Amino acid sequence: MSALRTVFVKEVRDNIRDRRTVLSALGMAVLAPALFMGLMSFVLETTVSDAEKSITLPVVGMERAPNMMAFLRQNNIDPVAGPENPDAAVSNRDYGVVLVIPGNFGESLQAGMPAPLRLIYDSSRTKDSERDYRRVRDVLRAYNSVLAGLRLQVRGISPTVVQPLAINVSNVASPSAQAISVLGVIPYFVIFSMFMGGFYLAIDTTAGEREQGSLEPLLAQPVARASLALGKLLATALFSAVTLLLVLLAFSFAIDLVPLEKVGMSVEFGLGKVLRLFAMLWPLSLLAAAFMMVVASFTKSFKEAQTYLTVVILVPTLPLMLVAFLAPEATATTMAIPSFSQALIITEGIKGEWVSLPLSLLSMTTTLIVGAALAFLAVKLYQREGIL
Amino acid sequence: MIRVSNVAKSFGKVKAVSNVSFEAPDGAITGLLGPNGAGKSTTLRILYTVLRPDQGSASVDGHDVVSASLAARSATGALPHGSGPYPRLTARENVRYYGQLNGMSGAALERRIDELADMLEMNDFLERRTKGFSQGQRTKVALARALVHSPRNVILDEPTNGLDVMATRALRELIRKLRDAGHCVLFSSHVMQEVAALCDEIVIIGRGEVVASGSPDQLREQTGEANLEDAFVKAIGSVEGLE
Repeated sequence: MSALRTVFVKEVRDNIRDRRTVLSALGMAVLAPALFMGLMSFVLETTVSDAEKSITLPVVGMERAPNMMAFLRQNNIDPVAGPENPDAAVSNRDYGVVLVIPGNFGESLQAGMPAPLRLIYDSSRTKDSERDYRRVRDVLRAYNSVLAGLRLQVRGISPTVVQPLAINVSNVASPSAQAISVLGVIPYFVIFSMFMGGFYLAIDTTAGEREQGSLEPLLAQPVARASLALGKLLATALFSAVTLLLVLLAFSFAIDLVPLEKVGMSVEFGLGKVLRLFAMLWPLSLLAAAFMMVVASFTKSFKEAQTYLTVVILVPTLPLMLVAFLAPEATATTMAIPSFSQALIITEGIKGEWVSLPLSLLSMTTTLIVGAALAFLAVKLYQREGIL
Repeated sequence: MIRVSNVAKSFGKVKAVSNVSFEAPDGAITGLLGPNGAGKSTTLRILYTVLRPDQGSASVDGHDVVSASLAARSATGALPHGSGPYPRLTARENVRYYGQLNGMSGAALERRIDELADMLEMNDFLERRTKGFSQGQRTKVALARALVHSPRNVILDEPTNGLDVMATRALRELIRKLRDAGHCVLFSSHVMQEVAALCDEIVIIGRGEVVASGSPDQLREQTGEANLEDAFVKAIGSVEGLE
C-alpha cells in the first residue's frame, strides 16, 4: 500500500510540473465554456431576430405608393426615405436592401398594367442582408396577392380561383427549444474534458516512461507491478476528476453570463448542482484513466501513444454529440452504458430534472465495474514482459 | 553473490540466450564481455527480474529471481542500459523516489542521498531538475538511484556508454570502491580495455553462450594468447565465425 502511495504522490507531483498536463486540464476548463457561450449567444441572437422584429427599409419614391407603405408598416417593415443613388448605396454597403418605386408606378397601377418595382440587395453580403431582402420580398408578394384579389373581386371573380394551393408554414422551433439543443452539447464537452484531463498522464506514465528509459529501472524495484500500475492509474484518475470539477465550475460560471432569460429560459447551475453532478460523475474518471492506460500500454513511444489515444478517445465521447439531438430517455438500459449514462445525468441535471437515484446508482455501478475490469487489464498488461 | 545456471531465453524465434552459467562472488568485480547482441543485456535483465528465464535458474544472494523476485530485487541495485531520470524531478527527488520504493523514508533517506551525492560528486546539480542534464550527470543520478538502498549486489548494463573520459574514470573508481566495500559488482561491456582494466573475473559471452570465463590471467592461459584482446577474439571467434 505504501508503495502505491509513493507512486501516486510521485506521479501527481511530476505531472503538476508538466505544462502540457496542466494546460490541457485548464484549457478544457476555459475553452469548453467559452465555446459554449459563443455558440449559445449566436443561437440566441439569430433566433430572436428571426422572430418578427421590425426592420427599416429605405424606399426611393415613398410618396408614389402610400397604400403600399401602409401595408409594409402593418408587416413590421418601416419605410424611410431612400438614398439618391440606391445602387451605389447598396454596393457600398450603406444599406442592405433598398426599394425603388419608379415614377410611372402609379400610372401603371391605375392602367391595370404590371407596376414596376425594383428591389436592390447584395447576395454576396452577410446573412442579414439576405434575410431582410426575403422579408421585404415576401411582404411585397403578399401585397401583390391582395391587389390581385381586389381586381378579381371588382370583376366578379372569387380570388380563390387563382389560389389553387393554400400553403401554411409552421416553424415550431421556439427560441428556447433551440437553446436547449445548444445546452445539449455540454455533456459532450464535460465528458471529453474528463478524458483530456488524464490524457497526458496516461501517456507519460506508460509510453513516455518507457521512452525516457525510466521504466526498466522502475520495474527492477522491489515493488509489486500491480502497485506501480495502480498508483499511476489513480494519479491519472485524479487529474481527470479535477478537470471534471474545473469544467463544471466553469460551465456554472458561463451559463450565468449567457442571457437565457431573453428567450424565457432560466437555467440554474449553481455550486450545489456542480457538486451534485460531480458526485455522480466521478466514477467515469477511473474508467477513463484505465481505458487510456490500456491503450497507451500497447504503444512504444510518446508520439505513437498520442496518435492512438487521440483517435481512441473519440469512441466513448463522439457518440455523445447525438445525445444533443436524439434526446434519449434515461432507462435501465441507457443508464447502464458508461459515458452515455453520464451524458444523460448531465443533460437532465442541467434542466433540473434529475435522473432518479436508482438509475444514477446504476450508472455509477456499471461504470465502476467496467472501470475495474479495464484497470485489471491495465495491471495485467503492466505485468507482461512486453511492457519494456 | 549472483548465481546463474543454464539460463536460456528466447523472444519469439530469436534465441537471445541459449545457455549461460556463471557466478559473481561478493567483493569482486565480474565483467560480462561480449559483442553486441551476444545476450549480455538479456542475461542481466533476467537477473534484475524484468525478464523471466525460459529455462535454468538464477539467484541473487540465494533468492531465486522467479520464485522470490521481490527479495532478489531488494538485494540488487540495477542500472539498466540507457536508463534515464525523470526530467521534471530534481536529482534529489529522483533518488528519493527510489529510496521510498525501497521502504526508506525521512531523515535516514535524506542522509543516504547526501552520502551518495558526496560519493558521486553530484552536489552541484543535486537540487536541479534533471531536464537538460549531460549524459554523465544522468548516469550519476541513475547510479545514485540504484544504490540508494545500499544493495549488496550491483548490476550495471554498459554503464560507461556515452560517458567522457573523466566521467568514465570516476565511474571505474566508484566500482572499485564498491568492490572494496564487499559488494558483488556485475557489469557488462563490449569494450575490451574497460573490462581488462577493471575486472577480477571475466565471463565472455558469444551467441547466447558462455565461451570462456576466469580471471584475466586464466583467460590468457586458456587461450594461449599473451594479450587479453587476442584471447577475447580467439574465444569469440570460434562462435562468431570469424576464424
